[in-house]
Amino acid sequence: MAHQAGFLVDIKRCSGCKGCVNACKAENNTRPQQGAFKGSVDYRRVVFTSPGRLTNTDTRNQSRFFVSTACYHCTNPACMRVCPARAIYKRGTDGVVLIRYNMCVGCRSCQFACPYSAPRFNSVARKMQKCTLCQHRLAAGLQPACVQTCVTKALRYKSDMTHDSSTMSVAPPDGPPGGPSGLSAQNFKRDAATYAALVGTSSTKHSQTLPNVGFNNE
Amino acid sequence: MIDVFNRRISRRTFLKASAAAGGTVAASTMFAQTASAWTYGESAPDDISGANVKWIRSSCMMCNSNCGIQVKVVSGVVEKIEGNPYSCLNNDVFGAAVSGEVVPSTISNPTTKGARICAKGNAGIMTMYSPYRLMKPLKRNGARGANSWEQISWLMAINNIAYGYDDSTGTNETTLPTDSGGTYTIRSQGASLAQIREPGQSGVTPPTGANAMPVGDVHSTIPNKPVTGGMAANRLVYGSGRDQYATIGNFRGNFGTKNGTSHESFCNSGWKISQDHSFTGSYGWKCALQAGTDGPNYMVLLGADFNEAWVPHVPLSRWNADFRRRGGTLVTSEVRVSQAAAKTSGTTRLIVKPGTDGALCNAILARWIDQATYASDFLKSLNPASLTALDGRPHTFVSDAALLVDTATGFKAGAGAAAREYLDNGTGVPPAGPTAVDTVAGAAVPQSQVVLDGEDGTKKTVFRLIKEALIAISGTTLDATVTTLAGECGFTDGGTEIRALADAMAAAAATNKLAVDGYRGVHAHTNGYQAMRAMWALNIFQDTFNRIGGVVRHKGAPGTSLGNPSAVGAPASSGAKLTRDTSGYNEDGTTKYGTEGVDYYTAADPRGLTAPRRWFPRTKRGNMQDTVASAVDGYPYKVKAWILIGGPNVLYTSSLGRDADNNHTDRLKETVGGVYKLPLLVAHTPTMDETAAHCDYVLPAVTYLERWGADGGGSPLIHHGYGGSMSGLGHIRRPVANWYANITIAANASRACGSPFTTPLSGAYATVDDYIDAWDGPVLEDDFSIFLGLKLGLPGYGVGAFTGSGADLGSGRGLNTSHFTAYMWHERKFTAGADWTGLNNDGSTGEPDEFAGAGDATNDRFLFMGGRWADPTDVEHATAGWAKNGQSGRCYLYLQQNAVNDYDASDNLPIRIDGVINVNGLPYAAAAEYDLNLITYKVGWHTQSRTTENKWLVGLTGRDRNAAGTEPNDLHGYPSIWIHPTAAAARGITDGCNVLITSSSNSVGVKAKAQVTANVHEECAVLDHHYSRRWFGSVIPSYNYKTWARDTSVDGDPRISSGATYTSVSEADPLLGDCGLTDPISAQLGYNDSKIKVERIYP
Repeated sequence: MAHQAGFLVDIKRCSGCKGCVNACKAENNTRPQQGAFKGSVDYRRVVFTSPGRLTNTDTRNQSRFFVSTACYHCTNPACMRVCPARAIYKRGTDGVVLIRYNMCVGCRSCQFACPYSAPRFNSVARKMQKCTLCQHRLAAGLQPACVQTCVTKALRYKSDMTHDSSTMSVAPPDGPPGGPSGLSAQNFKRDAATYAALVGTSSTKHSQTLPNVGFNNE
Repeated sequence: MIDVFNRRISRRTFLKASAAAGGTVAASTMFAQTASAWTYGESAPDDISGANVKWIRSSCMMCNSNCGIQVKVVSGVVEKIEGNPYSCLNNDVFGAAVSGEVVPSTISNPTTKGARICAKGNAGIMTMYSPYRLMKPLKRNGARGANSWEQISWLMAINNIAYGYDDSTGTNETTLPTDSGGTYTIRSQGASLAQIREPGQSGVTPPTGANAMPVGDVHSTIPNKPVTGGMAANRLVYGSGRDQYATIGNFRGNFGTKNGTSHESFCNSGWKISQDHSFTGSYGWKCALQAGTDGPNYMVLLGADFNEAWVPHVPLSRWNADFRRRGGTLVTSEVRVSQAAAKTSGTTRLIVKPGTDGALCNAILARWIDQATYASDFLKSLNPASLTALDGRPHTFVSDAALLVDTATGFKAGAGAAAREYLDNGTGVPPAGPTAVDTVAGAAVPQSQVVLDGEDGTKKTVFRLIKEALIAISGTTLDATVTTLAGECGFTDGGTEIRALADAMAAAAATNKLAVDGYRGVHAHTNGYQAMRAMWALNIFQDTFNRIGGVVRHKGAPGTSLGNPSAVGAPASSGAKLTRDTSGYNEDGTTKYGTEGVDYYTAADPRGLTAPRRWFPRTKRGNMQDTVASAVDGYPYKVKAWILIGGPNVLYTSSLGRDADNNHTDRLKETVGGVYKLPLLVAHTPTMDETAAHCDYVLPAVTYLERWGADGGGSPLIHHGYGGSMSGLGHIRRPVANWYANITIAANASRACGSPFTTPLSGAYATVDDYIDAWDGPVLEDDFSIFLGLKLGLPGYGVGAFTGSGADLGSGRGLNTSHFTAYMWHERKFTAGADWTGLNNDGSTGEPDEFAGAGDATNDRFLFMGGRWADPTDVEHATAGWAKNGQSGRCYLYLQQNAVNDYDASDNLPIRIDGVINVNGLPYAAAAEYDLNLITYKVGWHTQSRTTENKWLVGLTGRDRNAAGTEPNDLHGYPSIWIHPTAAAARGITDGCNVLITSSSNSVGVKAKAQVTANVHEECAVLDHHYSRRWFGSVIPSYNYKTWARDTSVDGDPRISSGATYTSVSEADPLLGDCGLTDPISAQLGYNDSKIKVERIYP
């Protein structure tokens, strides 16, 4: 694989506004197709987490954070391995994980296998759908829709997640690499523990599968 | 009619690897990696570019931030909304230097480099194509609120409303059903607009014969009414809610009524009125101050959250992210962990008791005075020249801290309003003769000559009054007062933490890096006005004004209307407003309409009332939460017709209560008071809301993507350069999906602009009636008002209406029979564009060259916070930031206005610590069984009523996860009441269980799900503001919505009516009974003061 593309998520910057969710929805036409809900899928979600909110009584130190989350285009995608129809594949050029829609049988195995439930079931089409990393926008020289709209610049696109070098451009397109906000890839922790703490995957279930996403929660 | 939903499904696209045209070339290269072609799913993205793809720039109106947007329109269908890269509000250029990023030298490819918009902005497409939108004019054929309608034509609707006849010949009177099954006519109630108009009012031809106003119907029959309370035309209320429309003020003026509908007392009048008084010393609306985020490194937000309905949300959120990233300290004080407070913890996250923000501010003030860590130079400066003489920097703004007050009279000392005395440091007494220091242009007085903390007989400096008032709180010392107030706020450490906070704030202020704000937090209490003054006092004591960052203001909002260009013969409106605000009072507190103690309230008992409802003499922002109730009372006069524009949801304001099934219909009908109290109710709105559902007529309106308009208040943080060289940066709103047509009306050439949901006009219309009748779908408010204006023959409408008025809009561009009014005004105001197309496609003039030559002081400027033009590279320059916030004049810590009315002298100082008070300013406490303080909030993706029906936004709400990975992801659409674990345990409440919420105003209560969470103070509970709504498309099938909804195949969305909203159970003022708890000074709804009881119920 030449490169592995992915998202950088700066948890410090994310304000939980959920603009990314609706930018994705508009871009990828995942709106309801029948009635109020049917056919609506969310490629991207913002997970609000308040660890221990049920038992902690110290409001001043109650943790609350927001993580914009979508398909992480895993190095070793669980969804791909379980797909009985072999409809899911990982693209060689940039590691983007895609679903061959015409081969999908809608069994939802991939959704259950995915630690993040990234593949979503379209109840109208009875097929699975998920984030394509806006490959159609990338092809046109644009950022993914969620990155484009991110109000706080918490979401960023990185074309190559496999090289954690400060020379790699991870800053927004209007800025220099790195920059005062410290957004070199090295600042982003990509270990399973950080990931699990933030978006809640089982660290044992797919421990060999590091997600292609960086988090900055320092 | 275009149906975007069907269109999307029918053109389901399967891209092939072999696709070769246009932008798919690159894609085919990528796809070549796989053996079999990858295909899109059900939801194929739209084309990014192509012959049919157009990008149109406009401004957003999903909230009042007015971010710039650029909209992708494909074959007339809105496909995508992105940010307008030319908008200084939300582009990547503005503020880039602050965050340390390189300012791009050019916006060379705006289409591929859009700016940023929030969840609401992205969802605007869903607002336009909402399946629940109204498409045809409706007239009720059942009781009010029964949701039984008949579809009528626009001509029929206009005839009914204007004259009360079904046709233009005046032969068939319009009838409406009564609640009891009978009928009544609009004319029998004197409620048609022609009947309402004032006979003899200047410029108005008196209606005669059948149109004449019924004798004796001018004024209320309630005793003690203000007998000269208003001209008859005031019996029409015509206006908007939160939306801004260009010609509403024009219609009001031309009709002759003063009455509109302001939502501001429900929103932020406490914030505004406290500024009106503190920063001008008078009742002038001149300020819109907010904490700057580009300069400070220490920001204290008291209940303020830049993520939750604090406009402008987008830049504030980004700048605050930048602020924290560059090491700024954010301190929040909230009773819950809001999205802003989530960025703090421990010592930077204060949790004070609800409603004690003022006490907290006073404690900090006491500490500063005790430690002498305030901005002494600023407080001692009598005028800007004094300050400049000291530090050599330009200044335009000073305070009144060193000025004298005569404590015997409560008035500022000195001769004349502009001459205020100070104490001479050499003598300790006022200098001989009046000393004119109360002007910005006054001569410099050396600070060595000024006593800041002094007295001379009955004269004391404002500073000293504050100091003495603070000491009096504890009765001993300033430090003891800190301890006392800390206890009031709920601290148990004797004030240690507040002292540390105050010292940290003072240290930050010493390097010009402090800002304090309390938007939507401090002011949302019944004591909010005074608490806000205390918060402003913090900023005044540290002079956060005279520099970059700190607290900033804009140069003046463009306003909600483009104004009335003085049509020939326009009547002079007069009289008190229905909202009973400042317009009925003189500044000295005397009334304009009647005698105090006779017509309003008694002098002997200043808290007592003789009038049916209390006046709010110091607010000028209306008092929306009891306006309907007042109208039902007929006080100060009867209202005959109420035309609501753009969805002001006046029946859904506060404390109306609902039953256990969340059915508020009966209470709303009760509030309407029966058809004879408000005989004609009309809503012009894109969607059915609670108020529209109880109207007699519901008329379909366009959305912001289908019409012209101008930004309303705009952003307090950014002056858009109205008329300046950056005009057009987001503040022109123009249709992105519409049609234009050249037509003639009665042989007068005209040009029409319409929504895609109406059949385009064409050709010649012989009469105005023909023209009106040609419309068959939603129309712009401007069109609606022109329909009425033309039919009523009002001045300002029709051929030659402006000829010779001095406001001639130009040859061929006057307000002729065209309905083109608003568009012409745009052209007059904004000359950059050609003819009716308005602005050029970039929506701007001058840029992107504005950004050429980084570092160049003259060419590299753009509009920055506070309305100042700045070089982005100068923000941390040693002197560049000084005196550039556009703030000038004097700020007032002492307000003598509050003493001359019905308040005691302590109201003059920002040192008044009330708890919850009633509308007469006296303490109020609900019964002990209601033991939780109800807090509400507006999440960033729901900031106004209209977003309620947007399914993309409805779907965003859910509970917080308890812990990573232990709960399912999908919790969308289940709003719940937050309750602290300790409070929950005491009530047997578990996470997700059902609870019943009751209050003193709603003993039946409402049901909700509980969300047990440590994110809220133990004594509080939190309800979201935007759910549990009966209308807005929540329950379509059972309510016969399908007779009018845009897309009749789409069912109602039950998420809209799920859960509970705070309005259901919030408390009514104990004296007024039918409106919410209200700040007696600002008329601000105290929406964080209600007490509730929460019980577990089964199941």
